[in-house]
Amino acid sequence: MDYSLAIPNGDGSPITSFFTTIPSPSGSLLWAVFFVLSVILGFTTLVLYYHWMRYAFGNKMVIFAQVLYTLVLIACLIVMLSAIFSYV
Amino acid sequence: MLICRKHWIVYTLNGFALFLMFLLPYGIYRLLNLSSVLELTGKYYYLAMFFYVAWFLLLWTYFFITWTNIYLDEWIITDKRIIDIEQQSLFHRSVSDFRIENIQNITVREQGFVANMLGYGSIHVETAGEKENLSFETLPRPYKVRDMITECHDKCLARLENSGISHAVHNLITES
Repeated sequence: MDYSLAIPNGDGSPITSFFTTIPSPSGSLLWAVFFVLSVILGFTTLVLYYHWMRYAFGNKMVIFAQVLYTLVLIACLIVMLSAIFSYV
Repeated sequence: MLICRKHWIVYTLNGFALFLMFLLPYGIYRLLNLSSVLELTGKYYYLAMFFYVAWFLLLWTYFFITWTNIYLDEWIITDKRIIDIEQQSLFHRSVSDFRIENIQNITVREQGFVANMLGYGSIHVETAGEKENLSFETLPRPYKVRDMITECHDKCLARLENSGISHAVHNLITES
């Protein structure tokens, strides 16, 4: 769908003016955002795993948190990837 | 041995605050009536989805960072000592060890309607000597914890008396 089609005639408000001037982000920008986010989340995940393994190894609650965190993280990354592919 | 951690209300409040943060972009979109300006259809739907999921992931990770900091903040009470583990952040952790016979005074405080209803409060333990005192906030069933510490303290003193070492002498030995 063409972005301009979604823009009504406008009421002249600053909000309307702001959104009518936003350019369409390119696919490479989304890939860059995805890459940066993956690096940040990857590092954070390593630090979290380090703490869980070192200070609470074998704790049932921590194992549950670990599994839940990892599954949701992977699912979200897959959704983001599919969103990029659909957008581009 | 008893391991004391924060009350579940701490995790819940933290999670609720992050849930509100998660809803914030959608709330702004609806409240400012941006749907009339920025219609999220076609490929813009996927763009919005991409950024919303990214936002969710950041909050999700932040939630687990704070959860870990809260969960690893604990007291381990044994019949000989109290180990106070303070996990202030992911890279700031301190562990203190206090002998149970050095305890002099225990103060428990349940302050506020919610704290009384849910049964959490703070506990403050004063120890002999120049050592730093112990305190733990939002502790579940603080009276039970106090009773257990008192019981361990009494048993420890009785053990010392039976072994023929007076409390003052024992303090001198352990401090030196």
